[in-house]
Amino acid sequence: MSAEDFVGYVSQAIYLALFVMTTVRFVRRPGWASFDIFLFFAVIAVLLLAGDASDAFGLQDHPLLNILTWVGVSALPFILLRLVDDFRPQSAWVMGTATLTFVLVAAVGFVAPQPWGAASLIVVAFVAVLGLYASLGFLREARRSTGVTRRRMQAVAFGSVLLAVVLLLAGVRVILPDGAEWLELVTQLIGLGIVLSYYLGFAPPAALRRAWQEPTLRALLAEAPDLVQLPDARAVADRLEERAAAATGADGAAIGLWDQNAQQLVLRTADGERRIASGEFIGGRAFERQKLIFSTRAERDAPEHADEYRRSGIHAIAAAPISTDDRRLGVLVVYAARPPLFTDDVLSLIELIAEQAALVMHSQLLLREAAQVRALAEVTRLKDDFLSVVAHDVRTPLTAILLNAELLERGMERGDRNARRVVSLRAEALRLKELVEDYLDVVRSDQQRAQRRERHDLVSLVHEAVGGEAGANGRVRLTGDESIPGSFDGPRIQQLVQNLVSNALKYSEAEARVEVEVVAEREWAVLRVTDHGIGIPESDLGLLFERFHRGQNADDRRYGGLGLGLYICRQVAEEHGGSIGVTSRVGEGTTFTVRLARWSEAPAPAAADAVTEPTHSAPPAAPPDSAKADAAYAADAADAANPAAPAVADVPGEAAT
Amino acid sequence: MSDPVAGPVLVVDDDPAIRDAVRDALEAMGMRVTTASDGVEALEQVLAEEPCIVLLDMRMPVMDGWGFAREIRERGMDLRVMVMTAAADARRWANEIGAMGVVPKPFALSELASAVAPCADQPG
Repeated sequence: MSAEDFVGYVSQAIYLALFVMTTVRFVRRPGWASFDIFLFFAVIAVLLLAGDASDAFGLQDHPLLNILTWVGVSALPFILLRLVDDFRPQSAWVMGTATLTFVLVAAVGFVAPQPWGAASLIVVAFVAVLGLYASLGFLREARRSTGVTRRRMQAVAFGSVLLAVVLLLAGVRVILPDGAEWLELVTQLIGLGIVLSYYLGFAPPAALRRAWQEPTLRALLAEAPDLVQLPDARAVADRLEERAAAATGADGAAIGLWDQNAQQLVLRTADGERRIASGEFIGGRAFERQKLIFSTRAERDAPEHADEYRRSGIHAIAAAPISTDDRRLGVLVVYAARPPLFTDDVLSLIELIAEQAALVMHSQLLLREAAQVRALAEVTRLKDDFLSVVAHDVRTPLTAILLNAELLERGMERGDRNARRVVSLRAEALRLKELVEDYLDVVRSDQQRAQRRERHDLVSLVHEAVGGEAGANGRVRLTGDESIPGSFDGPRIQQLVQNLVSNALKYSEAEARVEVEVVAEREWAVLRVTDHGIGIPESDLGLLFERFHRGQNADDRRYGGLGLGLYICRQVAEEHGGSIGVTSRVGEGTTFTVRLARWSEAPAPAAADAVTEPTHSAPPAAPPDSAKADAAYAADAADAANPAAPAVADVPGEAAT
Repeated sequence: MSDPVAGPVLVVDDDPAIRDAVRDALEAMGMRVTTASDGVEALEQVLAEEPCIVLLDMRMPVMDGWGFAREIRERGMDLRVMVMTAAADARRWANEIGAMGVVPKPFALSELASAVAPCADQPG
């Protein structure tokens, strides 16, 4: 097999492959552009088959085959010009002249007596002129377009110039039949160049992704880190709109961002913004269905907006949703006056750009959330630092005041008039100390508290808190398990126990016993404090564990504090993953039940709500204000609406006794 | 080492009101007391006469509680130290410097008494 034969076979194989591919594409996406591309390769295939047939069956110079070749060859540059016209309309004058000339040239093939000889020059001249004109058209369009389309256009232009040259050479050979052997080989090589150029220009994107899309994609990916740094999704959208239009060679692109609150897509327009609903226009439809929509006739596919599309001159629209797995972020709309020549490329690129946009916007969201978390953590830390300083600065002078008051008190004679004043001085200083400690406890962050949990035996903690066997003159009886190890905030647990026990003592008869029971129930520890005192009226139970309940009870000053006692108990229980509840019967007594998770997890650092609201859990039903909890406890039992029924309150919903 | 119980209670605090009140209280309990307003003064006192116990404030000018503890350690001295501070981190700091325990401010006379209990038997 000679070299020119080999080159010829390779070219033929590629042409036939292109014919198959373009036929498939035409069937899948009918349209003028894909029809013309199909037609172009169909004609080439026919010419090749005709040549092969004439060689194989000895039909050289058969008149019918000659006419077929004549018409086919003159059709090729004409179809190329139509392709240019498909991409960007050429003047009617040019197209009319070209069509007329083609018909005339084709007609000559039928009428002129064979062999044609010099008459062939008509075809050669026609092909050379129209072929070069079409090539120039492709080059012009290549310069005007961008991205993949531009590169494809360039390949097609190059192939078309070569085609014109090879047809010219063929003409020369007709005139000079005894042409040199080398001319044959040159023709075949140029033919291979043509077919390769056309392959690059016309093959579907799947076969060419690396060659065509990689540069564009690489550029987009390289830009991603910069895009993430942009201030917001709109800025990213603005940048990607430009990129999408440039990469696809479309007239323009728009990104609609989903506004979750308004349930609308927000597009930027020349004079501000435009809001459309999900499902509205082609873009809204792509967003609603969460899939790519491609329309070559927008006014027909979205008839309700036909006027607007017609006014703007937009006919071809491709819209791809911008979404991550769990978030719908918006939609990318690429539009053009005419459908693009290389639709598959453009569509797959649009999808890729939409994916890219989703990734960038999602990363941006994550970055912003991370920054917020960091800022919150910083604020929490500053608050904790500030509180430590406040605590330190208040405790220091109190130390001297309390010590001196106590020393003075000891030195006083009984009956000294100043003794009462010193006692009052010290009592008030103590009260101040407790107020400050309570207050600091309430506003301390979860994070700070979590750091203080360590391994303790709950029973020993409780024992210590109630003052051992002799606690409260022996009025407190401790029962339950011998030992309950767990992870507890020791001082806070003791504060809880002291608050509950002192309340219980306060509101019972002077000799009445208070029972404290601590038992382990699998992963829970349950603490019950029971008194046989005056009980709590049902109406007050709901308010018992709220913060800062100021009492209407005139006597509340006697008990001191901000009304934080039971609120702190609830906080301590919740810090330990548990709850606090109460049952009470007026005139019979009250039982507080605290459930603590023995090995509660530390809360996540810097919980968001720790900053804005130091105490995170708003109570399920928080009345605005009412009797101060402690004082309410002591309120007149006669007020109880239904003294017989046991009143139950439970915060925040765990079962109480 | 001489009998440590014989030594005085060394009160180290930069706040004179606290220093005086604590000294008064301890003297009222019948104890011998020396005072220092920072780590350097405390070190001088310790070198002059080994105390029975040191009540040590941590945040002080010139030399703080940590600096004092380091100096003591470097001299190979083994003193009873109770951290006396208003800070929330008292216990952690006590661990850091190897102190016996803490006396969190503010404290009552009874708490002060139990803090210096090991020295209660000292003569007059």
